[in-house]
Amino acid sequence: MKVKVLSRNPDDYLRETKRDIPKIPRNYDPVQHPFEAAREYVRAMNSAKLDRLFAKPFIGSLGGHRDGVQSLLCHPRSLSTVASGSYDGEIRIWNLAEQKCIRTVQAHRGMVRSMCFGSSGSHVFSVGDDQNIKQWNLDDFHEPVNTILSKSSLLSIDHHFDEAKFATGGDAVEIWDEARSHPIRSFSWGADSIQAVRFNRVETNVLASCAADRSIVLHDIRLADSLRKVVLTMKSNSLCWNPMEAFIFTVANEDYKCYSFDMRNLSSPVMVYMDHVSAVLDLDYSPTGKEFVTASYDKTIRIFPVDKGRSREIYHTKRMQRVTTVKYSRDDKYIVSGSDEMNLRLWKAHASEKLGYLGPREQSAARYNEKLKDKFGHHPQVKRILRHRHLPKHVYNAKKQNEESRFSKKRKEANRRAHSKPGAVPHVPERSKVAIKEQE
Amino acid sequence: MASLLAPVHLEELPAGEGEYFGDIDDPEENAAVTRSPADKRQHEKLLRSIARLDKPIAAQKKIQRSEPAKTIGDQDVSVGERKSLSVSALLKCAGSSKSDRAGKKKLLAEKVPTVLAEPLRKLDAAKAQRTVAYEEVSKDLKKWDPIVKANRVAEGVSFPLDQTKLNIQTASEYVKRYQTQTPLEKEIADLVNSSRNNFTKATILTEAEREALSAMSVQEAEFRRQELQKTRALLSYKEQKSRWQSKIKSKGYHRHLRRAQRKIDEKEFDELQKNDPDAALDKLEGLDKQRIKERLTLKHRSMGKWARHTASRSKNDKSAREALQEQLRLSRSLATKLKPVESDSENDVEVRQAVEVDVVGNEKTFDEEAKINPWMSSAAAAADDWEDDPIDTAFESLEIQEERKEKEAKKPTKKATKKQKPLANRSRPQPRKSAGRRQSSESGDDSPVEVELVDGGELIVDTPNVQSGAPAGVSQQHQKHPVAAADIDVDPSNVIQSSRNKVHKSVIPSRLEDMEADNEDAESDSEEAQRNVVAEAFADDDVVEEFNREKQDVEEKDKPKDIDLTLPGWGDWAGAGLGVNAKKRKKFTVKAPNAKPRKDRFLPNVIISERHDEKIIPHQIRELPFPFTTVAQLQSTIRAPIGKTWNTEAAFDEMTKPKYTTKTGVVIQPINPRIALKKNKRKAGDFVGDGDAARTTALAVSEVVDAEKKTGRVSKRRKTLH
Repeated sequence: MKVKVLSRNPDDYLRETKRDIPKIPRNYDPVQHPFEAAREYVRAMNSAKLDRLFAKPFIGSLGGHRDGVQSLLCHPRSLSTVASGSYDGEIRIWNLAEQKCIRTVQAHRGMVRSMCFGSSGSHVFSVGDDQNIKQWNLDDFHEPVNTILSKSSLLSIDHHFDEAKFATGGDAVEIWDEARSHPIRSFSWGADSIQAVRFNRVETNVLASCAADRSIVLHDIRLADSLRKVVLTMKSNSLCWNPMEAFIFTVANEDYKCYSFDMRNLSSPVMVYMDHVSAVLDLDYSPTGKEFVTASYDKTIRIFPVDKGRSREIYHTKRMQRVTTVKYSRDDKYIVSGSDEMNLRLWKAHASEKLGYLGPREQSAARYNEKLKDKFGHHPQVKRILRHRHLPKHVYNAKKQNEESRFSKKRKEANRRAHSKPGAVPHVPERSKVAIKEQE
Repeated sequence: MASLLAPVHLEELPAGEGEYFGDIDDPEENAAVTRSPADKRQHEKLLRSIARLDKPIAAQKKIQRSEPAKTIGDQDVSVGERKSLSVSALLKCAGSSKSDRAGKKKLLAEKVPTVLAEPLRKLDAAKAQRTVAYEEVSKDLKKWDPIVKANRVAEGVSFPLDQTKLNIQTASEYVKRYQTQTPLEKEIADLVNSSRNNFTKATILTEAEREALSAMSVQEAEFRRQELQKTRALLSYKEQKSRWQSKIKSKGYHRHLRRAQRKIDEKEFDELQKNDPDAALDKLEGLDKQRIKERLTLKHRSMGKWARHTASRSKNDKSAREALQEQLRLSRSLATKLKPVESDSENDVEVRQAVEVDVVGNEKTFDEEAKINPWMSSAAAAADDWEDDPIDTAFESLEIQEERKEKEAKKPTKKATKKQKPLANRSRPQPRKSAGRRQSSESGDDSPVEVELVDGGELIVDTPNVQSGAPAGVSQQHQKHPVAAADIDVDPSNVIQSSRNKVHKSVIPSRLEDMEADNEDAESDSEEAQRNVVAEAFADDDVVEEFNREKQDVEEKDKPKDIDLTLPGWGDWAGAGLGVNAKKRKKFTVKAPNAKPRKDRFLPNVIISERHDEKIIPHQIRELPFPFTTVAQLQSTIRAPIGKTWNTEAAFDEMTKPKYTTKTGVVIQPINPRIALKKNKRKAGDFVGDGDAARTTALAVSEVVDAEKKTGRVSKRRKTLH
């Protein structure tokens, strides 16, 4: 008996070699695809789930310090080089690619308060509790190249972006020339101790400082006096300028929030970032200027997009204690954090991103998935999956508590408004509550 | 003393000068201090001598204050080397003309303040300095605004920003580098350029190619010649034939021809009656002439030679009798007067005239109402068309509205039949099953139609329980004009107020009412005609029936249906005209489960949709998310798919382009002011480059701003700009 079967030409569906991309004939007529939206929705759901599935941001921990890490900095040119200073006055240089400590030196007596790289990246400047400013050569790390004894204790240091000048913060903001042993300029405006000093990376002569008296002061090194001062409700711990927007800077505040300011209008911040449940200790902008990362006393790291008030990501591990310092790598791919329990940790900036080479098809699939998540991000199920994070218990509880207290305040205000003359209790936006005084 | 001169000099410098700290710690200076005593002495000497050199200059500069004396004696010598001229002294020399005097007065009036202003407090001075500095810096930062704004919204940015771009040089760009130089080259270039075979950018084909293509081919010419030949031959055949035909002498043939011709004429006339009345009238005239001729002649009468002969034969011959009868019938049919098709009933004409009068009288009020009443707007638009057939046009427009709402397939056929029906036949509405329940109105008007209107055109439908007296809620005003009321005849047993009802009641009755109010002594027959018209308009409008049908449809639609999974030809013969075996069909049909009882099965006037799906609810967006303002916006973002399955590769790439990309292992430097600002300036320069355009746009903008100022929208615009 002859059995008849359907037969097809194998050339139509078999590929010649293993590397050939199978040709898939497609009909793009929308009439043929009545369920396109539904199918894309399913794909979006899947990509959201996979996104969470592959979200493994922790890369490694760098141990070696014998006390908590106080300061951290990334090399301006070399991506793999990182320097860290600890409470016991030790500075270590690390290679991130190998996850190894390359050099170690006992730099200061007491804590290494702050460090910065010179504009070329060949030297490190550090200030410590011993009132010394020390300059180190990266290649010859045993002895400091130069030591300057300051009259007062210094808390922070930052280098000018391209000139041989640096600024220190202590009793006053002082501007130093690398070749001189005395400050070339000194700004003081009523503050007792300057917590952080940061140069603007774009308008390189402008710098800002945070002081213990809750103030933020702007300076210009070309001018004799400071520019302006704004006093917030609570102290700012750290400050960072947006590397792509010359006039925007963000401060990490003691009141669990971060505030972005336009330096031309300090009366209210342009953006308020909240999600942390304890004081924010440090922050650093991503080199693209689209995001920044914060380190907090609540033992977590969060990443905020600059245009959103809430964080997109939270990083934590069981062993990580108070995170004192955090840095974004200069290629926008990694985050390095230093914490109280003597470790440096290396994280991915995008938790579920695949590291290493991506083939063209992988790339296009990843892009498609990203776009799908964007497109269907408003759908409750997709949103829920994408937003879902496991929180440590203390963060979870503190978050609940904070929310409750915020809600009760809101309720109280609403009640007050309801029972008083119309207009007597005005609506005050959250932003305008922050800056309590702008001083000229 | 003298050795200290230099440092003292430095101290006089302002604090912010910058060299201050530098100079004090200058290593060279320090070295000078630590030299040997002999050197020191020598150095001091040198300095002293230098200081001495300076002394006379310092003395020169010394300014002595001197009180100006009231009178200046001739012997008085000025104390200072340079004595300044006083205004008053100058004025003394001035003339005494009118203009001089005025100038004098003015100058003398200005008093020089005797006491200098107190310097600012140190704090205030510092504050002022800071304010100025801050404003300067802020103003300087403005240059970044366009760049930052552009970067924030930019799509597909690739970091690091300052990447050198590689361009591929096009052939035309490459060719442009070569210029003709020698006269020989120029000549050749001219020759080459004048060729008709050159490619141009604008067209695909060269000139020569186009000409060649547009010219006719040999085959085509041949073909056309053949065609012409063929038509000529056909023409000659036709001529020949007609010549032969005209020479035929057979009577039978000619009779046959005439009869056929007559039949064709009749048919044509019938068709013309339907399609083209004017042409039909012309034709009719021709036929009338024929009729007259027929009446004048005795061609088809019984008195003719052939008739008499046949009559004598007809007693025995059946065919002859039939032929005779046929002849007579023909005569009669030819002699009967034909009537025109249109305007068959005089009644109709009258009605139309009456209504026309009304319309003319009411035109003003109608227009006014049209402005107020939105339902009338379309009627107002069609007011011009009312002249030829107002009522019909009104109903047509109404029906169009209805059609738009309902999109029922039935409507157009209804309209067509209505149009063709003569109005005389429509004078009474069709008897309907509800006719028995109709109630006569108060005035005793025996018309079966009645309408009761409340203020604002609300309809009160007469339900069975409403008595023949004035129904509750009917205003007095309307009861005074019972004639104005025109009821909509709705089956009172099942009453539903649908949106369609509203249309009718608001348009027609109010219109009629207006007509009535203006022409109280209108002709009674025209009123009746109007009422009839209204009744006619709503005669077929059975809302309830429609609703029931709709409900049935929904029920039918929601009922689970059997799924037929039979594949024709599977395990059986297949082909055109071969059905599927009934047994097989039964075997492969999945039976639908019994439907749940509908929730609205006991509610006659309600449709409750059963298609509500519980499972899909958690997947649906509840609230409109932030950036969107309308649901349509949100839907538009979701509607178009972005996947490769539905898009071409290029479109897919374009649509999935990420907002920004970074490169692995490449350091991203902060934005470089030199490059970024230069780029920006260049962009601005391009714009300014064509000066006139820039000026005109600037003018346009200023004009817009002026206009907006007038309308008070300027603040709004500023907000959008920044």
